[in-house]
Amino acid sequence: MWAAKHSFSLLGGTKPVSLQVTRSKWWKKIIHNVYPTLQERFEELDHKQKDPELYAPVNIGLPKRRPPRRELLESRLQHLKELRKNKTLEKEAWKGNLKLDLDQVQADWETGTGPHQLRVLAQHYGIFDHLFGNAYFVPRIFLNISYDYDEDTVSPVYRGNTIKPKEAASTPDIQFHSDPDSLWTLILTNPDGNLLDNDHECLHWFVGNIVGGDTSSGEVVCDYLQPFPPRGTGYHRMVFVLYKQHQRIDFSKYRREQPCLSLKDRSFSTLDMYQEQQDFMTPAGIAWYQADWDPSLTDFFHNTLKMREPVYEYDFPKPYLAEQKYFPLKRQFNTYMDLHRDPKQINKEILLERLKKLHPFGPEQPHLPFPAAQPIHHDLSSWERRDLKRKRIGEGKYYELFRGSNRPV
Amino acid sequence: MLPLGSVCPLGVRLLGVCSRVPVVTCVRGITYGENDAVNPNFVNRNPRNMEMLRLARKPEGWNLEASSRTYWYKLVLEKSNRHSTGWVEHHTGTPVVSASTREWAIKQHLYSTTDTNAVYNIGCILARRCLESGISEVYTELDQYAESSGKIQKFLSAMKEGGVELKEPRFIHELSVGMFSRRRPALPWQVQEEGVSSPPSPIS
Repeated sequence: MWAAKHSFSLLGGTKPVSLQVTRSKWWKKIIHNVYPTLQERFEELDHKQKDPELYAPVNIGLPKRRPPRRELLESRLQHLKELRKNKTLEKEAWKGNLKLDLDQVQADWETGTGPHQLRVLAQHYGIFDHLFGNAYFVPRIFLNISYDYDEDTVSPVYRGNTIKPKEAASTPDIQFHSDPDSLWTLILTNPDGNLLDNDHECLHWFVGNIVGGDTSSGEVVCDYLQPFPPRGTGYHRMVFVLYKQHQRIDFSKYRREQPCLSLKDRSFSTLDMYQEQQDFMTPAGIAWYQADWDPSLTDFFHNTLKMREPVYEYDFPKPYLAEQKYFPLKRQFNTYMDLHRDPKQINKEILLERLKKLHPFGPEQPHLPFPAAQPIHHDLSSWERRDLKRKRIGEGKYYELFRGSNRPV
Repeated sequence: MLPLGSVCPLGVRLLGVCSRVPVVTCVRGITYGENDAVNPNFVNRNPRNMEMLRLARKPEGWNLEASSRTYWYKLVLEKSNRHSTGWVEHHTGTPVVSASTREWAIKQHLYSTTDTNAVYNIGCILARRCLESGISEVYTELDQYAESSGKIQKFLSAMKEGGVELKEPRFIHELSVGMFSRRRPALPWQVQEEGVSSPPSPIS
């Protein structure tokens, strides 16, 4: 059977689909089978592809302020020529001793390619998708944010590094380049942290009408609250967004009572807020970190938020299990029925059995040497003997009977 | 490439390429105060969460290809005739973090953009940018060339000294946590790091 792959557009001008042409000698005719590629199948599922104009990305950031290329080129070429003539530099480079000052490189990067790489990274972290929808911006202003860890050290916030909630318990120190008269707004949101509604964010800090680079001069619309990612939910993104204001803005609409400890009041949508304020402010800078659960959060939930601590666990995709039959042929009835029981119920029974033999204050009793070789009474039926052997070696559902070094090898 | 997590609706499981948005069920069910009414089904929208918890699937099935695709982040070094570029790319193709001698910030301090020293400095800068971007473990295919190439050796040592591990952890398959699996890996959220917090950076 001869098969060849052709890609050509269908009648009517729709997008091309991969077709496979097969010629069968039984039917003596050409059969066109439509086999879309994985990419094509994804595009079918993606609703944004159906109306590209509606979902086209929009740049809402500040325009670029770079000097003309010709001016830069002359001075840069001059600089490079001088470098090439430098004999000591050549010697150091040849020996491998020339190590660049990373802080200097960082400072120069922030004025050059930094904003564009930051935008790609923010896109990768899904920040623009979840905060602004189709809009994005190139963050021209760099934020230097750091939390005081102790007297000598700080926990800085970059672009996705991990910071524990206990390190972020108090307000961070924020610095950025600005004119002394300009007005700014700083918002700290958690797009993953809203425990009530999955489509909204949780507002952690909102300071408006900041004069110059001094955060303390701003009007606190919503007071600072530390991150509180619940146990089992993984890593939450805590995003700082800096907006440049064109004029003084009245934020009374967004004002929350201070201190705001209600999760419902902290529910926030950056998209809604920006749609209302888009004529008066422009996003200029962004920084984010990731936070996951910390044992100190138990007290935080109990004492500060006055709620029971939520504990989550990941819902693993369930493996395929055929419908239960009354009479499964050639299957051990006990293991077959165990598959269709609630796993939590089984684990509970195993735990109770383990607790029967466990001493609360003493060490765990060592198990039998060579447990699989221990004799089993012949009066027991075949399935009982198999079950007992599995229990002794800690196989399958009996895995939790033993812990750590006490587990039979 | 496609935005991860937004394509596959809950209930549909895609193999290999997309990272599934996790759905979790709340263990407790009784409401008590105003804040207690939390959503029992919590969805963490962070696209990097699954990778950090080692639950995201790596693209599998390309075993007959010369270069493997079973990774989340791959470290790549390009040595062209005039420049050296190092970058870390995601399996979807996005170059997430990069450092190149094309950048004026780096070029203005180097004697040569293609020698071993340049590649070493690119490694140092890339390692710092990776840690700042939350990437601490990467997959790389440069190990095989490290013995023969001094430049690649320097690059990899610069990454290691910078704090980036050149081996990615294995992903946790759903069958390995089931009731009938032999070896059960410790799940990331069950391991409690008592008294161990993330290393603080020195005050500048």
